[in-house]
Amino acid sequence: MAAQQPTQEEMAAHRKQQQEFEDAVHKIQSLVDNVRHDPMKLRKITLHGAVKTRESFLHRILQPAFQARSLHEVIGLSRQAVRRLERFGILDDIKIQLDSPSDPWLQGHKDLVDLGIWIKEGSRIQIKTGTEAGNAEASMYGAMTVKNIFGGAETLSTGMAFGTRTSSAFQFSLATPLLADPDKTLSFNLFSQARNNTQWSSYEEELKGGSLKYSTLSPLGYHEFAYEGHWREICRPSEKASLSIREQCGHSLKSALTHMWTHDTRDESLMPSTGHFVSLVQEYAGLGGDVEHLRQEIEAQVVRSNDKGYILSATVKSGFLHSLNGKPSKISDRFFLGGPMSVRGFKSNGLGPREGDDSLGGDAYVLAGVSLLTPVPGFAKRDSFKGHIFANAGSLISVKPGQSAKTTVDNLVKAPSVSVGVGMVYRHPQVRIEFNFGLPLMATKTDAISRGWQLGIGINFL
Amino acid sequence: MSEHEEKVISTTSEPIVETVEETLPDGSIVRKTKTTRLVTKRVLSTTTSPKEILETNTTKIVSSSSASSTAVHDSVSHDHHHHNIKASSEATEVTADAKTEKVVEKAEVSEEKSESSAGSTTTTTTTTTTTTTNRSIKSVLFGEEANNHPLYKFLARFPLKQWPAPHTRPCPVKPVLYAFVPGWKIGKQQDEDAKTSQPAIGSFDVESLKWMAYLKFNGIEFDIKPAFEPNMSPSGKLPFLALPNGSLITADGFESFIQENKAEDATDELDFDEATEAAAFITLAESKIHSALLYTMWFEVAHFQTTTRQHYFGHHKSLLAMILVYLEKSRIVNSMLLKSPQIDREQIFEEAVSAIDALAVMLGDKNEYFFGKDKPSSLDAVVFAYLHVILTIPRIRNIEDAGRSGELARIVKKHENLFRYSQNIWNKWFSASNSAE
Repeated sequence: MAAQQPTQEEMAAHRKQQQEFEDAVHKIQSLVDNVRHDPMKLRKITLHGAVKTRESFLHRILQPAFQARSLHEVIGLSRQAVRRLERFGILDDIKIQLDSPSDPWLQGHKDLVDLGIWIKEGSRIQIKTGTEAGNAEASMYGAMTVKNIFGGAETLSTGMAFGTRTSSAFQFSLATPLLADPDKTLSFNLFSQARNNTQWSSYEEELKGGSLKYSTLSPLGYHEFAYEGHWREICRPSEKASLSIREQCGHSLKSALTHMWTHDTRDESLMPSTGHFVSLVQEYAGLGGDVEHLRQEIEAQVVRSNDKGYILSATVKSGFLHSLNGKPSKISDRFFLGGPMSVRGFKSNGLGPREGDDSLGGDAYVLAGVSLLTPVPGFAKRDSFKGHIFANAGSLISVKPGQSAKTTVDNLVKAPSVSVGVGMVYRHPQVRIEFNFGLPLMATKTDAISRGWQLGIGINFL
Repeated sequence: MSEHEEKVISTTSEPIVETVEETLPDGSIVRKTKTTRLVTKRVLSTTTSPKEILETNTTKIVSSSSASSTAVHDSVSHDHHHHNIKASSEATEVTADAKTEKVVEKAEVSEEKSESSAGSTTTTTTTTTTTTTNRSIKSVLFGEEANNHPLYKFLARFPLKQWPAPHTRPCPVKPVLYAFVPGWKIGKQQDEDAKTSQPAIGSFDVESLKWMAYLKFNGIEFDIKPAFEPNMSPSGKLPFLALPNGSLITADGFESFIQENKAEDATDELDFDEATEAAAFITLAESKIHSALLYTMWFEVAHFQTTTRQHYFGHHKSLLAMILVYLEKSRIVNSMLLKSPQIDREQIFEEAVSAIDALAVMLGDKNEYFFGKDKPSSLDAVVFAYLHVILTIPRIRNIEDAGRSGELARIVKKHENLFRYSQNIWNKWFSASNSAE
């Protein structure tokens, strides 16, 4: 809100200015409108300022503009090309200008036009270091990103991180747009990390692997196809590790094809106020390697709000791991449930099959949650601060190879762990912070329950 | 000094041990973070500078274990039953906590810490930050009597409905030996073995077979679970023994476990001289014969390709097996190079020959077991394990190899008494021999 009320004169001057501007726009508009269907062709495109960006790459993007056959099309197509260029995120600034050919021989040709484009390339190298907290994990990282490394909007990024849950991580990725289309990306990734799961399962996991990923936007949503090869080692069981965890120790090789699809119409992902979200993740492992399975995960969320600041969201999630070789699943592939961002009122990964203090993970789960975010008295203007009432339910079970689908479903619905609670939600620009008082209503005997206050910091909440 | 600290440690959890070790060596300023994970899942992190710790280390604090308020401190006294505190702080939250959770040891620690800072003349500026989650916050909110607070009682009633546990592990009645056994490709046979009470199954691995033999010699009943991942053992080595009470026995505790649990008159006691001699021969076998066996298994190409790889890594798919075999082989090379500057086949086998000769002489012609006893001893377990593994290595007909791969077995077979001895033990103790060997 303005601090001072504008004076009458200022208002009048402003209105006049606006009127003039609108008139000018209108004039140009009608001028263009009059000649919009006049035949016109793009004679040449002059590009200024491309230092590192490859010519062939730019050529591919700008090429379609030459197909214009009228002024209207020339404007439309060149705008389209420029917008496409912008989306790669490698340019700081783009200006375009249409001009009649300066060549004296062509002065008479009213149907030819030249396009001038002035671009300013952005800085290519970004180095970041810092600390991060999210999804119940705190870490320290250093990352380097080189944009436009080969002049075709390719991105090379490497990163290293050390943290509480991921004890150490290294990753390298090279991503390139396919056919100069910002919506189609092919990326090659390598990573190596050590995950520390001792807090809930008394083991550590060393992961090394690579993937080749193709992602694309379709009218239906975002797709990602990938081939992944992961070498996992379950190692360093802690002193009190249960035998079931010890028996999981060892190496395994996963070679899998995955497909992910998401369709997201929410206004934002951290604390959405409207829209819906559907995601589907499928994985087929068994192209060589030690594990053969089908792994499915589906998630759906609907969010509705009213103008008084109440937001109601409902989420369901389900996953199923089906072993194809008749062997029991490996702990690395299993699902884990529970915690401040999953089923609240339970400890992190505290649901489902457990032995001693260790969560063993499960092969099938269902998860449902309803959250009502309310305006907080006194903070009504602050959208980032909300009261929270929730009910969560989840069930995680292990599935024996060859078990009938009916038994699995029966087991899933037979003994859900349910919790309710109230709390606060704060939406920080990067993370969502929840502080809830939760009470488990139903639980299995071995569930790690957490009555009372629970703090959740993360990105993906139930 | 350190033993007092360990006293504290034993009641809490291991991360403290690490920090203690870190602080001892030098006095330079090193930041250290202490994380304590109790059963109550509370995290206590302390940041101290070691210089100050060294000062306070000399201060021994005597405290009343009531953990509430009074604690007397004495900077020179050496009351061994009290804790030696190295850091002082305000740890009110922890105290409140510990009381509600009834972690008495913990309460003492934190209480003493605050007292020492109050009373001690050494200027300590250490800080303890306490990150509390869930329950501890609760106790802060409801005060020290949280357990009796009506709200706490109300909370304790949740969950209102309890379901049966989704996963239960049947409690074993017998100790379970996790050992290398030939079972990677025989899923079915594995099940059958699990049913038979005393599996008639041997091992291709000397250490595993030795344990089996020794357990059997001492009349201890046990089940065998095939295992191929040394990582799973607390010691990083297979085999290990899981007792029905949940504790795990590794090589360190094996002998004492045997002595405590062996059936009466299972073995004849060796007298002092015999025991010394046995120890000498065990060392002989474990160094000289071991090297030759390792060489045969890992460096004779014929064996390595057909047998060893399959035995140890056959349960993995080829690509992973290749990597792991390579890693294991280089580990073995390194371990052998530690003993001698180079891996010299001639020398290794010469030494093995003399060791085996010595064993043959030692055994004598008529004896069933070493020292002419009626019952086997630990030496028998070791020698049998080596002989049996050597003799059961599959013979490979390979012309290029010129019979080199079978040399160790031939050396043993030259001594008829050793051959007979090994067979006798196998037949007698591993009897109902439908074995996979």
